[in-house]
Amino acid sequence: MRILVFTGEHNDAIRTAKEISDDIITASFKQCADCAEFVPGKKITSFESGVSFIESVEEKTSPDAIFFSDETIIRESASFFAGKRRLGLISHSNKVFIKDGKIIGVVPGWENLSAEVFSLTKPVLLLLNAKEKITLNKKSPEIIKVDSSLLKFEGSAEFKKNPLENANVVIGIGRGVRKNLIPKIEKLAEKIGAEIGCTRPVADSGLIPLNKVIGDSGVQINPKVYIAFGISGAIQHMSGVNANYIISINSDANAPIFSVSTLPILGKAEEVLPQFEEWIKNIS
Amino acid sequence: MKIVVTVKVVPEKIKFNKETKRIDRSGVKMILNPVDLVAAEEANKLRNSNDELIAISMGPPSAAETLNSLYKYGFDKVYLLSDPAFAGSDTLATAYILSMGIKKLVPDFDIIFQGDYSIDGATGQIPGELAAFLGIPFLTHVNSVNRKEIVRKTETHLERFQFITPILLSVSDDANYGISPNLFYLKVSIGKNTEIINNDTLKANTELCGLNGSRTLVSSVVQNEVKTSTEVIKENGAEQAAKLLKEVGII
Repeated sequence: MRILVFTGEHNDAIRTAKEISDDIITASFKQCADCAEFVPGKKITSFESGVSFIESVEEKTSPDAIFFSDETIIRESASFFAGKRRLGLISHSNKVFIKDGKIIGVVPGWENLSAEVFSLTKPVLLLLNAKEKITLNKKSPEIIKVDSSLLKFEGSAEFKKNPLENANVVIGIGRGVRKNLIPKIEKLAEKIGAEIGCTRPVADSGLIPLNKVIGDSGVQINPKVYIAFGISGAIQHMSGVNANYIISINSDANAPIFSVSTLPILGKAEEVLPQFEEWIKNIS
Repeated sequence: MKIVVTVKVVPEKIKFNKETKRIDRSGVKMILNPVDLVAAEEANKLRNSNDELIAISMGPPSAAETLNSLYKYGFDKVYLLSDPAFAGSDTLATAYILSMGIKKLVPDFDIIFQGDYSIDGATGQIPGELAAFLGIPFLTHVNSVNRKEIVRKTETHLERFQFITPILLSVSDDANYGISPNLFYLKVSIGKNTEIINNDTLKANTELCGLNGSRTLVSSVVQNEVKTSTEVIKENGAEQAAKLLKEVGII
């Protein structure tokens, strides 16, 4: 089975494709001159050039499936391509397997459920969650200028990275944390030099800014230690957590986060927090 | 200028029916997708007094009541595309039906606003697919729009674009705090109802709608593996945590 992979800065789509096939062609939406296995990459700045890039590589390689790394410009190009060609597009999967000759994407859903989705059309199109970064050679970025009559790209500026991304310690706040506890957690964070993050429902309720959301629709964090207060560990949140140690505090003994925690602490956030402060004072 | 906002009615709490493999909407309170209200506010900010603001939704007839509240936010017209033939649509079929609705009801639209994702599906695929069906340019993760320029945020960059209409813009959830009702519209909205459009009017090709038109299918729904027998720490958890922090050199 031949799989064509389009990626930008992430490795997940390539790794997943390799798990199910040996015949893989990779193409990059970013410049990647040194990557021998890549179809010469382009730096793509609009969906129109993205779609024509997909079409031209597809035509030359006639793949059975096309895997797309779920990054902004690639997702835009993939979804327009799917609409244009009337092809099914399996959304943000985190796993892929083959059953009865069909490619099945595992799409994380709700209440700790995942939907197994397949496509009725060929080539099978599939978006894959992007977590692992690949190192790109940025020495000679060749920007391919695409003239578009419809959208004129004026320019771009790299914005300041979200401090959460590179934080050494992150404290996560979930729905199990009462409103009045948040300032105390912020104080603790300051003391130990941690960044504050949260789950989506907490941000949606307005308690913490939206740019602090960790997970699928937020930031990916890579700290040494992640301290999770009142977080159950839904897959949409945990997919954004890549930590060496997880300390979790939850009052539900069956909280999914406990199964991935180094220290699964059973208890209410408001009860554990003061003890925590006390011990940190004692030890440091 | 005519501005269309697509709005989805979603369950407040998500229940999944394991047998039908669809989201179970029965007995659950329905709300407007929050991110669509952010998109609506972006449309509202752009709107002048002679512009028209039109909402288009797709869903079961029961969604009409929830959609009525859009008049309180200042929408001039609210349409619900609803037909048994539309049930079970995947993103491609949904995008096709929405495109038919827009072509039929607001053929001379200038800008379509959408939310980046819905809280019950979160595929983020509709904008691209809808733009393809309409043959117009689009951008996602849009943060601000004025009549001259669009600013959007990718993973690493803020990008600026000049644009001409028609265009489709999918708005990022942190673009603003969402549209709010105002006193004037609260008064004039009384008695205004969502207009339901069925397929007799829409004349969409039923081969491209609903389950017939879906190109992806859910084969099964599985419980994510969760170890439930984890041994939890019931006492001196804080002590162990502090020690761990000390060990790795954080405190």
